[in-house]
Amino acid sequence: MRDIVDSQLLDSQGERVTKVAGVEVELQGDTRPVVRALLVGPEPLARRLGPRVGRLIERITGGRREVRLPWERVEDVGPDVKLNVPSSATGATHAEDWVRENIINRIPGSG
Amino acid sequence: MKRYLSVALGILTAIGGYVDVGAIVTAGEAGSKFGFGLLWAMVLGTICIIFLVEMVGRMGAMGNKAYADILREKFGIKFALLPLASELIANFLLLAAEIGGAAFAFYLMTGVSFQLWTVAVALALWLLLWRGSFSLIENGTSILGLVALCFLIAAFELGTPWSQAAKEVVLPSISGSGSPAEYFNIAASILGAIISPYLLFFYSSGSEEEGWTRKMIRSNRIIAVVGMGFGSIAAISIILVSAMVLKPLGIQAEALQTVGLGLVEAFGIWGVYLFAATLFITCFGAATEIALALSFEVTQIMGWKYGEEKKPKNAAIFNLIFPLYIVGSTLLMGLSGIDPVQLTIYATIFTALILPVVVVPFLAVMNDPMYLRDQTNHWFANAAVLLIIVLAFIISITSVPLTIIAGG
Repeated sequence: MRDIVDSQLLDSQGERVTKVAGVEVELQGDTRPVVRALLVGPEPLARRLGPRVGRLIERITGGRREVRLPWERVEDVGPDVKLNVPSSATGATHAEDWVRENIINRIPGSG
Repeated sequence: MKRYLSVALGILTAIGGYVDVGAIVTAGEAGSKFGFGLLWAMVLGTICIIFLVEMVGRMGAMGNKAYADILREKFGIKFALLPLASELIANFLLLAAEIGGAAFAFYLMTGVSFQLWTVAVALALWLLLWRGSFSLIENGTSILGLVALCFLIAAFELGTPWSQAAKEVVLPSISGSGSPAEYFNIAASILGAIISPYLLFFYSSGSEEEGWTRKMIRSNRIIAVVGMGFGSIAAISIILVSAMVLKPLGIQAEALQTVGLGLVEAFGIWGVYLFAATLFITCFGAATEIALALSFEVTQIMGWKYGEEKKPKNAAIFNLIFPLYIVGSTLLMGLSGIDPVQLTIYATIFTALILPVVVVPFLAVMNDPMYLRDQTNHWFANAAVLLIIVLAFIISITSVPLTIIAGG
């Protein structure tokens, strides 16, 4: 479980999405905990840096940037975590999309 | 044949890319104030960077991701944040200094306002990085940087006492126009100038962009030793020339143009042109690398898309970071009124201070068989790098308060 946190997330085409910020875990009796979902976004990341940082970030973003990727989305776990959907379907590419639409695409020569 | 050509290119690139504003300023100060007395710092710095460059090349050749990626994946975000944040600050300062150096060259040649030139340099930087290809940028600017070898030719022309210089590497004579505080201050700045951690991030991204494999390990070793070794000769020559021309006249290299006086002594009016060319090309080249390194560092540690070979729209955040930094650095250099020499000293001493924070995790990765498999570090390489890094840190941390007490 610790290995999966901070791992690279790749989409179904092998494109980088982001790194795993946290996990949502379910404790089932006395068996080992089961990963139910991967968490990405500034909020789960901030929480790992400390409770004060976590609260501060949550106040700024209002929790809107946190994304929960259910374990069913995971295709393969290796050095990287491969998802079975394209990045556009993850909901986790807000920053990249925003920068592309509002800044990069407005400059000539952006491809 | 192709292999030899690519090794030759790598060597030339390493030689030409060695000198930057840090090397020019710190070497000029060292030579003008303490003659040959600080050559040892340059030599130690070179030994350390040769080891580090060989290591980062080996890391890439073993098929690894770029260093910033590994930094987060191995250590987690909490522990990766400190080296990364230190790097971002150091690179910001250094980028500003390089932009300053490049702009200064144009100011020297035209007399037109230095501030205006920083804006022109920033624009040129951004344009080149916006659509340029990684290899073209790295190889092009570095090969042109071979002009810095004019200092070596000047050292010959001026009749450098080679055996005396060699002796002082091991037995420095600490007689000079500065205080002991200043001596160690410049020593720290030399080490911080030569051992630039951004190279770790830049080269590891480069070997990924160029698709290095295990077969590159031997070539990489040759390039690191020969390329960095000969590159250091250009920087050492700046000390030699400044020692022979500026020190006897009591001229301290407090202003950037005085470092060029050594070239004027050797070449007459051509010395001015050569100095301006060296200043612009080496600083501009370094600026491209630092700006790219900044984009790589942030996007790799956050897991976002990156790549200089990609079209900007396919790596949006990557293509936003370096322009933001270029703007910020240009504002710092252009508007604050800081002297480029002073800023360079701050940037290099800050770098020396953070060296342990950035390099120790790197050494940990280099000794991890999960990443390097059978190519982990030799104990000697670890020891050499650690010793020099610790030395740089100790000198810089003791020289900072000394400098403050002595009044700057």
